[in-house]
Formats: sequence, structure tokens, C-alpha cells
Amino acid sequence: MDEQRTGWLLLLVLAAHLALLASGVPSASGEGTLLEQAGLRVIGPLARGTASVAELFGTSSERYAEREALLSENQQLNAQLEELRLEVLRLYNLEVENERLSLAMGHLRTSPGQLTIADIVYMDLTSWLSTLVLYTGTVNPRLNQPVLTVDGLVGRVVDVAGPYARVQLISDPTSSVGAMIVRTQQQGVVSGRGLSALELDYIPLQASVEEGDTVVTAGIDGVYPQGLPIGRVMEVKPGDDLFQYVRVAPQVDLTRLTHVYLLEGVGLPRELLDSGSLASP
Amino acid sequence: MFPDFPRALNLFVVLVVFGGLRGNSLEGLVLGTVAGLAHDVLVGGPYGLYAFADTIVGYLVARLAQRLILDRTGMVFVVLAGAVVIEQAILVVLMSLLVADSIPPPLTWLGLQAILSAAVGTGFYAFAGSLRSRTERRRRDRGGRLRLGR
Repeated sequence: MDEQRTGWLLLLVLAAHLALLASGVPSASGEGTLLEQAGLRVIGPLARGTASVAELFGTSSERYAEREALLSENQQLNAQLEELRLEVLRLYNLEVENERLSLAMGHLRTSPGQLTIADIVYMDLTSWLSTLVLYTGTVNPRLNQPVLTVDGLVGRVVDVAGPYARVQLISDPTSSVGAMIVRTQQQGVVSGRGLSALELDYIPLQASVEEGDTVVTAGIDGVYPQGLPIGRVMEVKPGDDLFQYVRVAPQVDLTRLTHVYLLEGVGLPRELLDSGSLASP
Repeated sequence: MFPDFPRALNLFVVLVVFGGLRGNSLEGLVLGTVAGLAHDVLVGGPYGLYAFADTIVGYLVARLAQRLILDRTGMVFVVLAGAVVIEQAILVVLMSLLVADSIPPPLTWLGLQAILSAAVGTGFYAFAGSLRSRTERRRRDRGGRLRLGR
């Protein structure tokens, strides 16, 4: 091999070493590695640009949709809106009564978190690790921030670079969520098993679980607050010697997400999770 | 006498320089990469750190060997010491760029490492050279005796 080619090979090898180094060295902010941070900062704007172009074409084609279908949908949505407004009013009255009763019993209630809307700029549901990349605009996301839609839980933020965040979906095999069956208050852990199914683990054989039971977050893992819908029980059968096998259908259709919400003001402080005295998912 | 002798001796650089002295830049590059990665695995630190530095050292030594005659013992000593210094300089620069609070090693430590590694490496080189010439001489003598025997 002549010297010029060897020189180019040297540059290539050195670049590979630097990439290997960047993939192992944590970033100065402590959130992910240098390579992940750099990758997210480069890929985030590119993905956002691609999503914008795709949205532009989608918007153009919607102009040719049937007018009647749109009017009908508009009427249905208005009716739903009216029902939801009445539901909100009823829930507001319940909250006021709850507040009153809590004060009377001297019970300190946690305040609900604020929601920040985020656009999905990249989605990878085909690889083993199901992930989303979000763009939050002026509000910077933080690690372990819960991500949800109006229907229920989507996942949590696992990587941050400025206004971009990578989200681990609840369908990811490495995801774990502290969960609870609403009817019986039985607690367990929901793990991902693909886009259309989750598994509720550590449910004892003697516990009462029925198909159709609602599963929500238990608020015991220091990441998700209590009460966020996760899904419904699809299948129950005896598992190994100690626990039942419980399959759960996700509440949120993870293949049809367009935008999500980041939940602020919940979860344990990072210092407490990092101290090692608590287990975090 | 030298409580830190094992730590001060940089055998990986010695190996890379020996490979580079053959004058083939591709060999020097490859040997530097392999030795550097092995060093990274032993150290357990960020992978790619020593690999980056030793790849550059191996390539530079090979290029130098193409331009100068480096088979004298004195030259080998200088090249070895210089290689250790260059490797440590690259590591210091990389660590200062990648790690916020990295502290470079003291200069006396660097000097000790350069001299010790160069001395041991030169000793190996001289020993290997004398062993090679002894083997050559024995082969020549055997060839001569065979011809006389005919």
C-alpha cells in the first residue's frame, strides 16, 4: 500500500478511535456520553427538518380530502368536547371535595405536575429498543421525565441534548414501570414486550386479577406519579411457582403518536436516586 | 530501589516502536492500534485512548525509520524515549479535551518513564541483535563445514 493511502488509512483509524473514545466518556453534564450528546444534537435538527417537510406534504394532500367527512368529524368532536367539559367540571368538584377532606384529616396531598407539549421528530419502533426523539422548543427536558399522551403513559426521557430528548417507550424490553391494578390495588412491575403487549410481573398466584382490569402507575418507582393509565389486562394465566403471567394491552397506541406531553414537577430528586439508597427503573 | 518500576515501564510503547523500526508505515499503524487497544483493555479506562496515541506513535516511528538509519543502539534509545514522551503528550491533550478535571502527570514522572522504557527497550533490542548475529554466524560456519565435507 503506498504512503498516501496509508496516510488516509491512518486518519480513518484515528477517527474510529475518537468515536470509540466518545462513546465511552460521559459528557460534562452527566447526561449520556459525548457521542450520544453529539449524535442527538446533529440528528435532532435533521430529523426535525425531515418531519417538517413530511408534514408539509401531508398538509397539502389533506386539502383534497372530502368536505363532508370533515364536517361530520367536526360535529363529532364538538359533541365529545362538550362531554369532556362536563366531565372536567365533575372532576373539579371532586378535587375540591378531596382537598377539603385531606385538609380535615391533616393529609398532605402532592400537587399535580405541569404538562409541556413536545413534537416527535424521529421514531424507531422496528429495532429491539423502541425509542422516540422529541423536540420541546424553549423548555429543556430533563432525564427520567415522564412522557404521556391524553390516553396514558408513553415512556420516560433517557437522553437529553438541549431541546432534544430521547424517550424510552414502555414497550421497550428494558423498560420497567412500577404499576398497580386499580380494582385491587395489587402492585407489580410492567415490562415491555413489544408495541402491542406489555407484561405485568410479580403478581402473586393468590392475587385477584381479571381480564379487563385497569393498570395504572403505582407511583413507587420515583419516576412516574401515581395514577397514569398504562393499559388493560388482556390475559391471565398461572406462571411459574410463585407468580401469575399477566399480559397487558397498552392504553396508548404507540404506532400512532404525533405529539406527546412531558410531565413536570414530579419524581424524586436526582440526587436521591443517584445515592443508591433507592432502586430506580 | 524503584518501587514504581512496573508502572514506570511502558512495554506497549516499546513493542510499538520495535514494530515501527521495520520501516513499514502500515505495520506501524496496525501494531500501534492493536497494542493501544490491548493497553486500553488492561487499564480499563475509556477505550480508544491509548489506541489513538499508540497508532500515531507507531506510524510516526515507521515514517522516521523510512528516512533515517535507526539500527544503532543510541538512536533506538532516543526514538524510544521520544515515543514515550509523544504518547503521554497525546494522552494529556485528549484527557484535557474529554474529561473536565483531568490532572496531567508530573514532568519528573514522564522523564522517569521515558528513560526507563528507553533503557529496557534498548537492552532488549541490543540483546535481540546479538542473538541474531550469533545465529547468523553459526549458520554460516555450518554451511562452510558442509562444503569442506564434500
